[in-house]
Amino acid sequence: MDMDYAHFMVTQGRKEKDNSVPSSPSSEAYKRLLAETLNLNRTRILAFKNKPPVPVELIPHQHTASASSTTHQAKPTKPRRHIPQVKQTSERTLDAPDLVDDFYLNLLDWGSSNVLAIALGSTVYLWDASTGSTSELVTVDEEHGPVTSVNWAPDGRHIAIGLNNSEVQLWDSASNKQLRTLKGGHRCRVGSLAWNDHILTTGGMDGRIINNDVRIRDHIVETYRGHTQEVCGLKWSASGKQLASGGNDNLIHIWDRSVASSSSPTQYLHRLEDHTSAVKALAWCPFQSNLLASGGGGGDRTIKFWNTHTGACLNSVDTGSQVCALLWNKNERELLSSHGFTQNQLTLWKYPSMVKTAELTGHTSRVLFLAQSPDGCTVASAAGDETLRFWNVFGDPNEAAKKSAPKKNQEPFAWANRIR
Amino acid sequence: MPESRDRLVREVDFAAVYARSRTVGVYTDEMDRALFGSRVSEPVQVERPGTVFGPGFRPGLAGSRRPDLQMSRRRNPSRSRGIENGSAARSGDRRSDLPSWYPRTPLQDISAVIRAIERRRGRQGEGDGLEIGTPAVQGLRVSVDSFKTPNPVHLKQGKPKSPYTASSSAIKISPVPKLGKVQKLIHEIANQPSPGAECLTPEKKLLNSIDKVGEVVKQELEKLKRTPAAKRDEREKRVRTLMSMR
Repeated sequence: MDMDYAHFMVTQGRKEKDNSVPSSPSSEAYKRLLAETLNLNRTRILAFKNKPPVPVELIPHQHTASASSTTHQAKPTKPRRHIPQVKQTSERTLDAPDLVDDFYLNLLDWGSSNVLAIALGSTVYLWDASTGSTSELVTVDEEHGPVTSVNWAPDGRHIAIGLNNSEVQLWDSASNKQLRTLKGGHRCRVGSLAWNDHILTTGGMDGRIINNDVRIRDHIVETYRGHTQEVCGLKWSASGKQLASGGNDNLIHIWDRSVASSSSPTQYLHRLEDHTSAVKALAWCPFQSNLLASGGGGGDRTIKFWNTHTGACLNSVDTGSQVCALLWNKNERELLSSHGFTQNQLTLWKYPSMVKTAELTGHTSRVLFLAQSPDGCTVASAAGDETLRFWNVFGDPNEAAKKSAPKKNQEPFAWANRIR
Repeated sequence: MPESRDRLVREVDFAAVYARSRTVGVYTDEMDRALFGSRVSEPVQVERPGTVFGPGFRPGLAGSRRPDLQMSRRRNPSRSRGIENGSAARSGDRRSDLPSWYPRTPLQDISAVIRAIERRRGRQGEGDGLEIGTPAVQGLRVSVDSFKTPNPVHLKQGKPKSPYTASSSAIKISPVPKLGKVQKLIHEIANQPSPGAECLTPEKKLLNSIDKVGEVVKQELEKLKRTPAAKRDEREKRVRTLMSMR
């Protein structure tokens, strides 16, 4: 700032006004030119300037001690993801009238085409998560129903529906047509389903587990016997090599297709007997291929971790209430469990420390069913209070969308084998 | 292939077995076997304990069912007897938090409704601290008298009386005349998407009426402020303040 000019501008103005001597045009012009050359034409005293010069450091970077130089590094090695706390309230709540309040069933599944399927009584409804629209897929006869399990095929288009009368129906959701009915395998209701490519594995109240090849007429390819009571939990591993099943007989069986086909007296690879209540909650770890998490029912209340190659129990955590379902976070090392009496909460655990990161409450009855969105951010939970709630517990869907979008732009011609 | 059944015919006293299992409170296997044979093919939930199945009942027949069972099944789709489901006696007639008159549509978005219900539940939890019975109502009468609020009955007519009338006629906050207006309110609320009127106990109604009275009092005070005499007074006060600052 020009201090002299500032002083002049502030004080000089008055003098000019007192001057009453008439001035000739030439003297006016002279005055004007003089003002211009002396840079007195500025109307402003203060003016914007460019950026201040970078302060000169007394001791340059490189020569300081190594300890202080590390503080200037850009970021620590592990960026903290959850700077905002996990939102403790549900994003939205949908009405689910006539939802059967039965622990042993599996009435909720979210398909890869982002459509949620839920069975309410004898009807299966589809909810398109991208549009929020509801449609009815099928209502089965009173005599065959209610629906006891639903499961989307990996393609996100076909869906299997298990019924109380032991049949399994296969539907095409795109055309809303029934493709076939699998009969004759089970004798009691089919409470659990799991897909492995073209194999649909069904678990029944009769304790049997049947592998059905849906492409062929004689669909039963294999029957696993081992459970003595209802099979309520059924999950294939990500690789498709191992199948985990949990039953009302408090057992978990690990079935390996290579072992089962060989003529051994017991078909299962492992029989895990540590739980003291029914095991419905089963979840394979996405970042460790042979790690299985299981949750016990009301009398057990623990979550146990298993190495399915060796059959060893790696860890056991007491949760304090009935564990109805388990879900792993695909992006972080976290596990979500849903519970019953008394809090009916969803608990988010850090793995492997098993520290509780968050507790999501809202349901007023036990949270029976959980399903995860295809983008891995949202979890849907259905409870005995006849509501279906959505939680953004695994991340913000907007952020996930932003992250995935630039990836798509990286290779504009990825779809073409050759460019020419 | 038909399932195998217990072929031995045993004399079973159904009533005794039922009574025994009822006292235990849990649907036992023993009862299963007595009523349905050795192998249970389908889960059946007995809604009403009074029904006893005669010897003519045959298990394994999917089609034939007693009509009353069927009715109850339609309303409450059957829940199996497993240990994880608790005792059979715990049949959820109304498991939902939504009021009974609320129209149920599958997968309808009820987020706002549920939030309102949760808020009300939270408020109820606080409100239960104030014990409102008849003695408190008397207390209310006294306090309202001292305020000389307008007669609450006038609320219905919509004609406010000036609160500064000397008449300290007994201002009754009797719940009976209030009910009419409050019930009207309930119906209004019912027609709107927001709920919350299903649990309006007399205490709640009283609290609501107190709120209303408070609002009316505030409105009266506002009106008073607007009268010319009040304005003149205020102006004089302001002038006095300014003059003192000269």
